[in-house]
Amino acid sequence: MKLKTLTYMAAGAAMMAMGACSTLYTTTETQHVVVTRTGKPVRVIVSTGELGAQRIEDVKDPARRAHLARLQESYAEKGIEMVVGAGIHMKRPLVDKVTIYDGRLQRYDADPSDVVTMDKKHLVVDTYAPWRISDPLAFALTVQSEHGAQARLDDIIYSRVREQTGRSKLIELVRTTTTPLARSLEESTDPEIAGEHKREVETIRYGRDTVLEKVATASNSDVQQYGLGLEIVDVRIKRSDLPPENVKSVYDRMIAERGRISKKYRSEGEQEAQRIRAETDRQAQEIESLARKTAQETMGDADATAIRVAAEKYGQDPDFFEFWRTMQAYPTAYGDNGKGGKTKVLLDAESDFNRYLLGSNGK
Amino acid sequence: MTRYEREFGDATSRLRNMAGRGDLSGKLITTGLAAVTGLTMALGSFYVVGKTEQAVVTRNGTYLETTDAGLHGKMPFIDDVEKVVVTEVQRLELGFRTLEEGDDGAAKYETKADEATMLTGDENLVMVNWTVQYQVVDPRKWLYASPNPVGLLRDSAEAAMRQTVGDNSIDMVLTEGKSQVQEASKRTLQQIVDKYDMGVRIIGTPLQDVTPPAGDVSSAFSDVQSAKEDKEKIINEALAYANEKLPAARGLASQITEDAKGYAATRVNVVTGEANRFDKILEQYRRAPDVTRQRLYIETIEQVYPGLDKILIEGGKGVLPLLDLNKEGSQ
Repeated sequence: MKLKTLTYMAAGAAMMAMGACSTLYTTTETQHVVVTRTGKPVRVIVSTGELGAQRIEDVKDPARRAHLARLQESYAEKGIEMVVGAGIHMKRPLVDKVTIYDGRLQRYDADPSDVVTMDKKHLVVDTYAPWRISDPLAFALTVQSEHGAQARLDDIIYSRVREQTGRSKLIELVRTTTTPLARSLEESTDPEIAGEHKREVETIRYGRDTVLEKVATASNSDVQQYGLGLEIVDVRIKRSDLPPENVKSVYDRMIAERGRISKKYRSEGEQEAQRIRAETDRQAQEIESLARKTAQETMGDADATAIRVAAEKYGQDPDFFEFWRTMQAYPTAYGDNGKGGKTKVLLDAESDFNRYLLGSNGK
Repeated sequence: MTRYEREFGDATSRLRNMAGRGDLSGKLITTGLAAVTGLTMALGSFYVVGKTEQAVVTRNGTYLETTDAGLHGKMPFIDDVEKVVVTEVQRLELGFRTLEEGDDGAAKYETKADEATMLTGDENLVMVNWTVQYQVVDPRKWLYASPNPVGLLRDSAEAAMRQTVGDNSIDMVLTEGKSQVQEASKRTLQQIVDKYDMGVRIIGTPLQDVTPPAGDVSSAFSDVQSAKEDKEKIINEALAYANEKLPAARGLASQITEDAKGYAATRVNVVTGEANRFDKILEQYRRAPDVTRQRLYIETIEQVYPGLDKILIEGGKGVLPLLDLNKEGSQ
């Protein structure tokens, strides 16, 4: 008996603890709560969305403060109590149903979708959009859950993305700034490639940021119009790829472009090499001919000097010079020339030198 | 329900089961209940924050404090602790994943083609592998911005890099503009996460590998590289030709001019020498012209005659009678 009593007591204590637990609940600073009593919303606990702000008056951002004040007003009109801030809250057991919503940034990630741009090009765009609950009651009544929100955002963002991309050129979805791209030096020096580049470049009216801002604004106004109670913070393109069937042509273009650059480098090399060789040959010829010129001049100077000196000295007695030089020339002219053959001469016995040999004893 | 409420619930239901079996004494149940409660209370009264972490403590859902590394006390059941790594720079890999950290630096990587492939501003495709280095500077914001902050950061990083690459030409991304791309992507990413108020600082978004798409495109790009090298090679060969040919020409030029100088010196010296010799001879000749002339003549004849085939002809006689003499020779 005693054991049974104790068991009941323990069980009773446990039940009471559980009961206490089921009338108390805790919310954090980032949670919204919608309390329904027999299916009808009676109380909404709203996160201020600003850390540390536990009352509307504490919210620093004026827009957010105004939004919360508006929310409180609109809830009051519907006879719903709005509470701001985290903490422990009470509920009536059994009749009150508490639904907690995450007030933090949720991530909407669309499936990649094929869009056609204004210039009839296909692009596979993968967008993501962080969003958060701005009106917990409206959110609870319309989309009901984060899952439901994804489905609604799919419809809204997808159609807005398609609409805006359809009004933009492909390049406007790829680029962010509108300034034409300065190609690297290696390409701009070649008029052929620079010309090619000019043909490719289109005027860019605006960039990706502008397109996405328009998408975000349009999507937000849709969201507001449908009263979904959420706010899209940002729409961004995570990936934008070319469809597989277009990749091939881009690859072909890239290969052709690189081929041109390669060819340009090689022919530039040939051109430069030829120039260097030609210049070298020219310089070599200049150097050699200049040397020959100098050499001839040097020799000419020497010859002139020689002639002058000879004329000066020999001119003192031209007759003697003739005699003396002739005497010098004889041995060379008639002497053994080293080739074996001897010069034959017929000598007149009465010549100057021979007259003593056969003649009249030096008469 | 917080974790502690759950634990408490579990404990009470376990106790009820034990009691239901009825084979335990009441004393034991009471002791057990006290022990479990005590243990839960004790374990729930402190927590440890790791040396790279900070902890955000909430009491009944309201922010209480942020604590640093070490052992800290807390109120069981009502205090909730979430720890965030703050002092360490953390890293996300994009476009690739490290499969294996090699001990000797030989790590294995796997490229994620769909994540890495991007359109450049001149509508070319390029594969980019990069990392995001970030540090949580405000753990409270980090926890409260999003239920999945790392996922949001990853999406933002992809958007930022694609935006940056989309605004640059392929040559900028592949070669000279790498550092600008890194810097711009980092700036853009920081702007995005600031918009989301995530309490995170982007240290950098360094590019790891930037390559043209594999296959034919890649080989076309490497051919540009070898074309550049070919260009250098061809020019260097021409320069080598110049370096060989010009010194040779200069050598030849010196040879020619020096030869000419040599000729000039010889010519002047020889002629001057001869002239001076004549000068000296003339001086002596003038003292006794007839004798000297005679002597010079005889000396020359003396020098010349031994080398001649000589035939003496009597004075005034013709040459004809002597024609045969040739055969007999003469001395």
